[in-house]
Amino acid sequence: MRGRPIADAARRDARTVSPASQVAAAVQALVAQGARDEARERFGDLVALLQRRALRIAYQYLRDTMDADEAVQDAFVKVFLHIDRYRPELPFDVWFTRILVNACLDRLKSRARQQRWLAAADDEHESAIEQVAAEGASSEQRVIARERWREVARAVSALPERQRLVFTLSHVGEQSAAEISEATGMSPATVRVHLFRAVRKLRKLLGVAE
Amino acid sequence: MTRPKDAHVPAERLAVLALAPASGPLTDEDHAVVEHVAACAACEARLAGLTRTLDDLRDEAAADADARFPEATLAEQRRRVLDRLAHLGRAARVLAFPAARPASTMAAAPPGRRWITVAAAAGLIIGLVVGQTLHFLPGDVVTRRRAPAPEPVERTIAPAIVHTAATRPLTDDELLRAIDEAIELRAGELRALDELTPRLTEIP
Repeated sequence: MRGRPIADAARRDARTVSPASQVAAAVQALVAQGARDEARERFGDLVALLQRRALRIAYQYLRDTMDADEAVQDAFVKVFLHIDRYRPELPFDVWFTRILVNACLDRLKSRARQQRWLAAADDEHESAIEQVAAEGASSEQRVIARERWREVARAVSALPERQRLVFTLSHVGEQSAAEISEATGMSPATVRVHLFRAVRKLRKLLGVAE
Repeated sequence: MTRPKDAHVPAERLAVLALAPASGPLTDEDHAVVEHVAACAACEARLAGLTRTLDDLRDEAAADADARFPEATLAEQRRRVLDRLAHLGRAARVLAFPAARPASTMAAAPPGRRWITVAAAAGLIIGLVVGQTLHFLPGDVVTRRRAPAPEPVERTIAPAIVHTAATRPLTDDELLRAIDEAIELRAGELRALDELTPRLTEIP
């Protein structure tokens, strides 16, 4: 979503049936009929629809490719296991995001158990990223924006857990306060407070001037 | 604390609304902000700049993540998810336990042989215990039970000499002769070794 104006605040109608919601309802119906193999095949379409966005959120939140990959896989498996609990009248994306957030939190707990440094930079694929980024680099602004994003990403990694989650869901996941509220279980007011605090900490990097 | 109606919207408040617009009914504060931005050119410009920045950063975040998860990785992930789902509900394959071993030989042995084994083990244990006990008894008790030890000097010379010394003491001549005889036995080997050793005069 590009250049969202304030007046477009209510841009998303939660009752709009997204493609993901339609496929999820179809999978649910197949599972209810006992056609599990067919349901699994159809579920592949759902994975294809959502996995890119899910990986962006998980990677931004966890800052580790392996953890992000595993968290997204776990989330999809949980969705299939509990598809009977999905209520088709609600947006599937929000339900899925909630499951994804829980999977990411599980990963974080597991990582904390392993005494790993949360904010560790993942340099594993640095050269590949440089290469891919260089292919698209066409101007000085792009290079500056990339460098700026790296600084922001580092700063976001250092935010407290809830602020990081809310910022990631709103910025990378492009979710409204109400959607984040549903996905995280926080009240919309709490979501905005966390977002406000996150922005205050990132204000210099975000170029937020008075 | 309420904000004066003509004051500009704080930057953080603008950023929050740009990041996560309120869907559904707006709060009073949100209404006030929206109204102010619509009427204030400066705040509108700030918001537009902020939105551009956030959009650029979002693009970079997406590019960063997408570079780490190319299409091939996504396909592999889909395959793994579907594989995991295919194995759901399937009972784990249980490997057969190795065939039962024959019953213990001890259990199968006749009672007579079992008694012999037990008696031998008991004897061994008793022997070990008694030996250890004697070893740690006070010195006079031990010396009373042991034979007197041979003279240490007699042990150090040679077996032949010891044998002689057991009967009578050696004279000096006899001792020297015994030494010569002992050396003569090894003389061949010593000569061969001597021949192998270079002489100082032979070294150029």
